[in-house]
Amino acid sequence: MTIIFILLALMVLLSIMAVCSRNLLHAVIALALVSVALTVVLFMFQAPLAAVFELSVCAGFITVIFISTISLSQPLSNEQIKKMTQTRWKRYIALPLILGVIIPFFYWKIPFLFSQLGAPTTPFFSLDVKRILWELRTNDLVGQLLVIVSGVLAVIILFKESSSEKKVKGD
Amino acid sequence: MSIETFGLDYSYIAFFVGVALVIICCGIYSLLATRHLIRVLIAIGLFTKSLTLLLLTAGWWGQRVPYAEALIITVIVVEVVVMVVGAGLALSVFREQGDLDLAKLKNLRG
Repeated sequence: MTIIFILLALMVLLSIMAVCSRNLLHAVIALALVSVALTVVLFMFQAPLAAVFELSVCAGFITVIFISTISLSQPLSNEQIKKMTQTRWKRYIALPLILGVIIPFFYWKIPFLFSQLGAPTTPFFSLDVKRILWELRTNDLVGQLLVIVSGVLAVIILFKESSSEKKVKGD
Repeated sequence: MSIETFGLDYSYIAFFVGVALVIICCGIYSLLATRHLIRVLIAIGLFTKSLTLLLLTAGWWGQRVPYAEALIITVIVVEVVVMVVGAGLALSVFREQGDLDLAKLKNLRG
């Protein structure tokens, strides 16, 4: 039980670090560590397929994408980072307000609401995740395929050189 | 090792939902407070993490964890495509204007 609470508290702390960190690389690594903590939670809830997806894709592939993007774009100078950070802290103090006010109110009121939910429903079916994906959620798979194809097309179009750029390079 | 061996019961659902809401708040704060394109993508990543946690909690409460797992896989696939296209957009924007500041994206050419 303690492990679950530690993992969830870690997710919250790492999310705050990902948002408030001045260094972009630290923010990306914090996001990857949130994925790792979520992976362990998914494993503990006996969702291994989703856990493996989360670890390999979100903690691995997306982190690589972010680091590649950061390295290919010119980093900001220290003065620019300092200026943007000061503007951020001066203009927005929403996060401490949200966390300090709304969350205690939530924990004061919501347990009462959740206690009215009643007993959990009986399982509707007892298939494993592979059969659910292939037999019950086939439309989801088609949608995923379409999203992947459209993503690939979008990336190809984004990095396609126009004919005028090709002429300039040829000269 | 199942979740019941950890002594959790359904009264902890509020805690899980609360944690997901905190992560959503962090994402909203990042969207409000930043003008950097990559930090916007990080905020979208945080939204997806909280959505995954909420789906898992709902699946656990309704005793349909495999069903929630299938939906989580769908969400992860969509998230990775969004991130890749967003990173491609960021690089494309950087090529055009040399900066990832969203406030400078004012030219919309037809």
